[in-house]
Formats: sequence, C-alpha cells, structure tokens
Amino acid sequence: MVDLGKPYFKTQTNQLKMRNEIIRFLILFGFCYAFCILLFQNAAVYKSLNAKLRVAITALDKSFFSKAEISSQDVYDDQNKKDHNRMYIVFGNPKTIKIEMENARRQGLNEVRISTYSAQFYFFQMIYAPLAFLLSLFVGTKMPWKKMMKGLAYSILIFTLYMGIKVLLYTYFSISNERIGLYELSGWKEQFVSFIVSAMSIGFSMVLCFCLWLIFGLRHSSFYQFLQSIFSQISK
Amino acid sequence: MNFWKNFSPIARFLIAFCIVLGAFYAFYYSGFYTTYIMPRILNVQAMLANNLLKLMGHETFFANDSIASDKFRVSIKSGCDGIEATAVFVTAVLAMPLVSWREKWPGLLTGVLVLSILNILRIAGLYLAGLYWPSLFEILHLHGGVVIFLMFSIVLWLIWVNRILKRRQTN
Repeated sequence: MVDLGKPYFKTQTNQLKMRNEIIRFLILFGFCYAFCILLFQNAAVYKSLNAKLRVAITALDKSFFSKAEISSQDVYDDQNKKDHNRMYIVFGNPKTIKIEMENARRQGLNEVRISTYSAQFYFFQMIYAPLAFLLSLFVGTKMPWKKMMKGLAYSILIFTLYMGIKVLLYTYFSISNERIGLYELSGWKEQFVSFIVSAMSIGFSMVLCFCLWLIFGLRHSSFYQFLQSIFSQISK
Repeated sequence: MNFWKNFSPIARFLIAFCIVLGAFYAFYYSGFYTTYIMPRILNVQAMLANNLLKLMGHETFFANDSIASDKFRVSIKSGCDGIEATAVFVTAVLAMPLVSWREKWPGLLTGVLVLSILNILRIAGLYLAGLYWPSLFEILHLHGGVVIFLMFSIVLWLIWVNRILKRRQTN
C-alpha cells in the first residue's frame, strides 16, 4: 500500500510503478472486454440470456402499461432467419382489437388483421456492450476483491435501474407515437420523453458506466492514490 | 465558493466531471445542436474522411453525412461521430482542479485535434472495413467507435496530466 501522506510520484520508481499499473489496467481491460464480447456472441449464452431478458422486458412493460395489450415477438432478418439479438414489443389498444376480432367473426373471416404496432429492442448494443464495458473497468482496476464485488454490485444495480427506465420510456414513447388512444403524450411532455429516449444512446450508456466506475470503483483503487498524488503535486 | 473549496481536490474533480458531462449531454441532444450544429460537424467529418480515402486512391464522394462509392456507402450518425469521447476528454481537462486556464487550453486544443484526426482515420478505416471485411464492420463500428475511442480519450487525459506534472517538477 502507498503512504497517502507522501507524494506517490516523488521517485522514478513510483512513476514507473504507476505507468505499469496503467498498462496492466489497459491489458486486463482489453482481455476482459474481448472475453465478455466473445461470450455474449456465443449462441448458447445469448439464446439463454436473451430469452430471460425478453420475459423480463415484456413483464416490465405489461406491469407499467396495463391498459394496453402488450406481447413480445421474434425478429427475422432479410434471409428469414430468426435474430436472437433482437425482439419486438408489440402493443395495441385492447378495445380496438376486440372490435376488430368481433367484426371478423361476424363476417366469418378465417384471418383477421388487428391494429398492433411494435418497438424494437437490440440486446447487444443496449445491454451487453455497456455491461461488458462496466465489468472490464472493474476487473482491470487493482483493488481489494471485496470492494470490487461491492462496487460492481452497486454499479450493476444502478445500471439495471437505468435499463428499466430506458425500456419503459422507449415503450412509452413508441406507444404514444402510434396514437392508439392510450398513453398519449403531447406538447412539452412528448418533447421531453423524446429527448430522454434519444439521449439514452449507447454512447451515453458507456459514459454512465464510466461514471459508475469513477464513483464505486476508483476510490478503492490504486488510481485513487495516483490521483491524490497528482493533486498534491499540482497544488505545490 | 468556500463550500466548494471544502471538498477534497478529487471530490471536486469527480463532481465537476459529472456536472460538466451532464451539461454536455443536455446540449448534445438539444434541438439546437441536432438541427444547426450536428449536420455541419458530420458534413465536415465526411468531407475530410472522403479526402483521405481519395488520397489513398479510392473513387469515393461525399454528400451530407455520407461517404460513398459504387461499391460501398457509410453514413456518420450521432453517437458514431466521436464527439462523446472527445467530450469526456474535454470534461476531464476542464474539471481538473488546481490547474490554471493558461495550462488547460493548450492541452484542450492538442487533445481535441488529436482525437479529431483519429476520428477521421477511424471513419475512413470503417469505410475500408465495410469494403474489404464486411463481417468485421459491425464489430469495429461498435467497439472501435465507442469503447476504444473512449479509452483513448482517457489515456490522452492521463498523458496531459503527466505533462502538467513534469512541467511542475521542472519548474
């Protein structure tokens, strides 16, 4: 451990030690990130994770938008192959759907076209890439295991809350946009939700993960002493 | 002001970093930025990357935010423009306490210039990846564009801090 009372960079040895620690961080970060990305691209892993995520996202939307008819649907690519990394949340107005079903039954139709709309979710960009980034930042940072686990647990909890809010706002915006007679936004509320939804991009998710690492990871790491020594030397 | 100075330099740095970054995002997604500023930045990036590709002997042309040829086309969009990673660097420099403006602005100018040049290389590289290694395009786009670029801006900030330290030690 470094004596916090003494400037860390006073000697060349410590300067070298810090440089080595930054290199160690970059290497570990790179390896962990690459490993996570490869893991999330493994069919067995993403199929199982995405199925659970699909259930969770649908249940979350159903519980918050209980007045709407909500279900999930598979996404197929141009070659008609199922895309496991994406899903549709399909929504509609139950009253409109009921009327359309009754009309079809009265007319004796075998097939009925019901008015439903969809919002698409892309798991990899939305969840896996930022999560891999967050994990790699913590794994790459030299700090006691217990502190790492605790910091990581808080960060994942906040990230999950952020994801939940993102899912709900995106669904809310999509439902409102289709004007199905439910959950319709107008004026500044519509502009505000549109602004928040567009701001919750992958870049923002990554920067949020970086801020979570700054808050929950940095203060227990050797980088904290590095920063402290920088400030103590700069202030001279 | 005294209240602010009661915090330790690290706390001041972290609080200022989060606030300035929050302000950046409020501006970055504002109607003013997306309507008036973003299209011009994307247009300039497309023009510079197109010139670089032409220098390399590719028959490309650009229009608005796109670079195209008869074989492939890339379009630069918000989030893929390298602005967020640049903002992280600028924010980290601006939020640095105990360093004067006189010391900050050369670092800011150099850092932004380096990141802008790298971004042009990245865009041209993505066009080439799409042309020659289409299967790698998405991976390079996402991980190279967002994660590696973000890590690069952090490393650039560390280099700037190191230069400030060296200067102080020499003085």
